[in-house]
Amino acid sequence: MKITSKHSKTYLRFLSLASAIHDMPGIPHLDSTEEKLLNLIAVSLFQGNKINVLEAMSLVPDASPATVHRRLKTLRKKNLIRLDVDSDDNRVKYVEMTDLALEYFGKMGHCLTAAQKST
Amino acid sequence: MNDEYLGPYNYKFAHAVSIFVMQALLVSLAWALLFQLNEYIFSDITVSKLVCWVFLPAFIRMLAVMIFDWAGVFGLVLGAYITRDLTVANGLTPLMLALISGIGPYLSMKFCQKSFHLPESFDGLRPQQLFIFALAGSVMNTGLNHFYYQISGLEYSLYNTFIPMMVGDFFGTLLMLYLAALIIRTLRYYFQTKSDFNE
Repeated sequence: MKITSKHSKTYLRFLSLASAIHDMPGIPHLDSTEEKLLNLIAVSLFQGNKINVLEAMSLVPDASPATVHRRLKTLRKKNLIRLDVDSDDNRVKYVEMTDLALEYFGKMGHCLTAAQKST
Repeated sequence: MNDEYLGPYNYKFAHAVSIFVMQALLVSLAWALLFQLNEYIFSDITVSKLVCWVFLPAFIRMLAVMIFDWAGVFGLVLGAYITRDLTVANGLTPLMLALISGIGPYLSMKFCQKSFHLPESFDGLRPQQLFIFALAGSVMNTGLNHFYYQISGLEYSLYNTFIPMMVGDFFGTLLMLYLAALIIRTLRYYFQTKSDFNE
């Protein structure tokens, strides 16, 4: 893309830099599907349900099971969920939240409180 | 002044100059504030006025040239001159060190931009490349500073100036990058949540 205006060049540079800074490694960053999946898992666990991987794959209605499976893997890689093997059947794995995920929801809770205060 | 003598070209030029000056002043102000903050927080690990094991204003160097280009360079030169070491006797030295503070990051940015084949807008800049930018900036700044120390006869040493300056620039930039990342993410979540409420 050819940049003609000096101001638009400055602004685009700012946006590129902000985007790169936003994705700095070390702090888990979630895409929209990961965020939705993590929220649904958390709600289900909060209600006292146990979710295995197969059930988790059908949690997000507007994403295919394959996509959700990939996101489960990335969430696990980001240390936001862990998979606990069933004591009776080794083939069944249950999805559980990690401490990092709980911390994440804690931060989201703070944001909610702040947003409520400002409205 | 009669307005009819100011054609569209002159107006555009005056506007461009005023934007350039404002950007440069913004950079120099950010530099001076972060310099003061650095002196306040890291006074225990400060080696000299310009050398500290964690040097937060190094982040402004990178940010200024990447966003504002030459306006950033001028801002950095001005900022570094404002916060100069008043105990240095040689009248030319503060100016030269201020020039290095502005031109060094610009050269390192151009080098990294060419190495990564990044467009002018930095479109496609990856977070990992920011580490390389930070490292290149610290190496360039330390190298140019010590080159000047050598030719002007100023005292320097590997352990007392070279390593602390390089490490300080690098870690200062990294620290600020992570702080900026946290601020951007918090703001994004905040506004995202706020917009969800308004829907």
